[in-house]
Amino acid sequence: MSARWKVLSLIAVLALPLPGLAADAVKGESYFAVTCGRCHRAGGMGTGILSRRPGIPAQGLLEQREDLTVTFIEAVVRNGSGNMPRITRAEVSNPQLAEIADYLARGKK
Amino acid sequence: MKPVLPPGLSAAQLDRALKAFAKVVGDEWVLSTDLDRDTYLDHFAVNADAHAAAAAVAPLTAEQVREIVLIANEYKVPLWPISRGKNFGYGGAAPRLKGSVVLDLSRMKKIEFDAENGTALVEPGVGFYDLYDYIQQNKLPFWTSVPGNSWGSVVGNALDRGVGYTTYGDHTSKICGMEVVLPTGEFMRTGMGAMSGAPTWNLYRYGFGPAWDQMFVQSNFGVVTKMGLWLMPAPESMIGLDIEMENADDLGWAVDLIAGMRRDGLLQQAPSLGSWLRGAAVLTTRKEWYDKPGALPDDVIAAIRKKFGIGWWSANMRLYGYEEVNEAAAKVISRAFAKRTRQPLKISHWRAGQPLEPNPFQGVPVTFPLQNAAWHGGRGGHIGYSPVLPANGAAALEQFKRTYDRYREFGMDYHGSFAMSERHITNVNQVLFNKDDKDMMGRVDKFFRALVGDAKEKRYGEYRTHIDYMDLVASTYDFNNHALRRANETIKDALDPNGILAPGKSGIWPRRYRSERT
Ligand SMILES: Cc1cc2nc3c(=O)[nH]c(=O)nc-3n(C[C@H](O)[C@H](O)[C@H](O)COP(=O)(O)OP(=O)(O)OC[C@H]3O[C@@H](n4cnc5c(N)ncnc54)[C@H](O)[C@@H]3O)c2cc1C
Ligand code: HEC
Repeated sequence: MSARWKVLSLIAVLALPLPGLAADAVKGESYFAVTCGRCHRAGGMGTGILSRRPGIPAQGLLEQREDLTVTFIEAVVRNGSGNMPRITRAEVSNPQLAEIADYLARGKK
Repeated sequence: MKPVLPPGLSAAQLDRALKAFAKVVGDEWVLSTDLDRDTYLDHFAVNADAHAAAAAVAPLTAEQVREIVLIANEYKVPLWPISRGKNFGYGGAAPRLKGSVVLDLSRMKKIEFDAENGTALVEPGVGFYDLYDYIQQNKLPFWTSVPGNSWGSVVGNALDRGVGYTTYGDHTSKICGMEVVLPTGEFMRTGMGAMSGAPTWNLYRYGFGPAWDQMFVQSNFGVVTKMGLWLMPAPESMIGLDIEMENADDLGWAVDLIAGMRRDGLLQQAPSLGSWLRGAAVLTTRKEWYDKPGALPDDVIAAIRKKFGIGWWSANMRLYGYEEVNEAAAKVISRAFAKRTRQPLKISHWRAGQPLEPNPFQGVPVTFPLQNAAWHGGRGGHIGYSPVLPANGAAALEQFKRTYDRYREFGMDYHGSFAMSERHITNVNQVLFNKDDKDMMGRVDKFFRALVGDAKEKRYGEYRTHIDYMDLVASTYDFNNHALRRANETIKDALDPNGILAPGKSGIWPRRYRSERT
């Protein structure tokens, strides 16, 4: 192998189309995966802490919850919550956050 | 708007600088609302406001970095570069000097991979997850090396001398060639990169004449915009040897035994001997076991250890490479342990083709270790106290006892680890606290200063520290009336005459702000 691999890593990840889902849901889900998913899928810090908090549904997995609203999600991400650090606009832009919140809240404002 | 300003700068001047930054990066990427500013506070700090940023600017390209640095010189605005700014325990994204503008490089995410030589040339925004995903997607036969908090940046971590858990875990030693924007706005490349177009930039570290990679590590002499890094070839086999040690005193002999194996090369990875709380704080919370303040009593510790099967100390050794070689090394290690203790070594095997575990021993990024923030139940946090010791059992045991007594004196729960290098130990202690416990928070500063004082008395210095304590730690490096600091500041003034880059980083203050030293 002598070729130098030159790819923009994130763009490659986010461009992956998932069959069977509407375009917006795909975007929301893939943004979720590469930003929030590190902590909020199985084995992550967010899942670990939430699963131990009394009264939190779905074993702490955000993607399986029915009770999340867009307003709540956006507030948590920018203000932090308990032991979740704040996330800047440089890391997750407002439009990206809107897609993620939409994906998690499934239409609940 | 509640303006936060650096010393000597007016709100109008800052405003003009931010407008000039916006011309370079676009309005969206100057982050200057109150909410924006708060997102750069250190979430795990004792006193986050002491390090509030004035704003942040987030370029996409190295050329934009250069233009921002030029503007900062024009308006005399201090910049604090971060790669992803997840430096928890040491300051997060927050600047040393309150009112600095954070130069947030997290949008710069280019990866160039040389699959023949096993090197990556990465920009600062590339996270451990990004590099790992990239390697997986392109099926490249290499492993990353990741820290226990893998949410951060490959470049940022190496620039703070961060560590991982494979044989490539001493990240700063894997740097090979960088591109840097100097504080006056000039591009420079180190090592072979100083020859334009050299194919050996990321292959040979030193170039010709003085080699400067380390000059930009834990310093404020330049903004790193690209870093060459060596990656571990994916091994054919990994063998794990884990031991849970019953007694606090086991630390002494275990350090001596492992130190020998590190020195003679039998063990190529740096095992870290961690106290029971390292494991427990991720798995449970204190409240489930004890509801009184003060350090935990011994019987509670014993009960927690029993429930989770954790030794007083845990040590995890890993062998990587060819199966036959690993098998042979594992035999030698097992024999040496058996001579010293009857406590069993748990041996595990992984072979190429089997799935990777979500575990830093296999270079797979994780965030679960951050769960220890919840140990006290409330809004947690921690600062790291990390002196460097000789790789010697008696010294380690003595340092442990001294530190343990201090934790108890201040009513804190001991969380220590001893990472074994060829000739030294990095003794990382996490000071875990509860931000909702006012009384505890009032003790942290005195406690931390006592710890640094103890180390100083033994002539041990910290390898890295929180932004709150950079001056304190720098002051302990005192040979010949702080000759090192004086030399650093001579260099600082020469390279950065306006003092715009990361004033106060590692206790190095430019002339303009020297009176800010604490
Ligand atoms: C529970 C827990 C476990 C942890 N485990 C580990 C571990 O195992 N190993 C370890 O090393 N750390 C560990 N950490 C500490 C820390 O979280 C990581 O080191 C993390 O990788 C640092 O954040 P970052 O990579 O985003 O670097 P950044 O925060 O981006 O950078 C660190 C510092 O380097 C300087 N810098 C960054 N980028 C540049 C640049 N481009 N040019 C010039 N200067 C720059 C800045 O001063 C910055 O503050 C742990 C923390 C916690 C809370
Ligand atoms: C570094 C790990 C981390 C990342 C990354 C992260 N979170 Fe969190 N998150 C946490 C933790 C930990 C908690 C639980 C905080 C607590 O209660 O102490 C949490 C809690 C939350 C909650 C509140 C749940 C509740 O019921 O209280 C929401 C909503 C949330 N996160 C959304 C997100 C979204 C959206 C993203 C991505 C943009 C994200 N998080 C990224 C760690 C993370």
